[in-house]
Amino acid sequence: MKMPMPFRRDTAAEIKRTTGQVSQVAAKLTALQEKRAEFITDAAEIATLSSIGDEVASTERLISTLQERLVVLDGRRKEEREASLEERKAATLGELERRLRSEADAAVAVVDAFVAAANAYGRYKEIRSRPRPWSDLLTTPMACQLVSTI
Amino acid sequence: MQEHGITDVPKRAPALIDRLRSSVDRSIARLREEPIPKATLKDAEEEEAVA
Repeated sequence: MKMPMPFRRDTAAEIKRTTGQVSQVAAKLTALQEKRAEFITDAAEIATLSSIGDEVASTERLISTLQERLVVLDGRRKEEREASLEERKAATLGELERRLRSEADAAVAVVDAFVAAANAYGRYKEIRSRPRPWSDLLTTPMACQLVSTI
Repeated sequence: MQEHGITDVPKRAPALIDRLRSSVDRSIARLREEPIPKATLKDAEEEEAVA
């Protein structure tokens, strides 16, 4: 008696079914791998974006700090500029004062000379107003004429 | 020149000199008090910008 071969058929069918399952699973695995790859790419992008976001935030903070620093420096520069101008003004005024006082001294010297001249003139007038002694008469034109005649 | 004017000079000279000296003092003090003009500050700012 010949033994039936249900197993063989079953096995073949099972092999076929299993092969199909394997193919399906393999396809699913491939799909999952692709999906995972996408996820990995997305995750990398997210990480990159997050890193860029951090850098942006950091840069914004740096810009803010630098802007504050700029305001402080601008104020300081303004103060230094004004101080420099004040120094220049003081130096210029010092020179101007020196020259003005020198001019004033020269003017005072002129006034003093004029006072001396006025005093001399007053003295001259006073002497002229005195009665002339006889000796003075010798210097008059008439005396000179007399002397030349003699 | 009038004689009166000439003989009057020695009496008037001290007051004249005082006026001159105090005028110089007042002028210098006024200049020291005066603030630096805004135009000068602006010029300095522009000079800095160019430098």
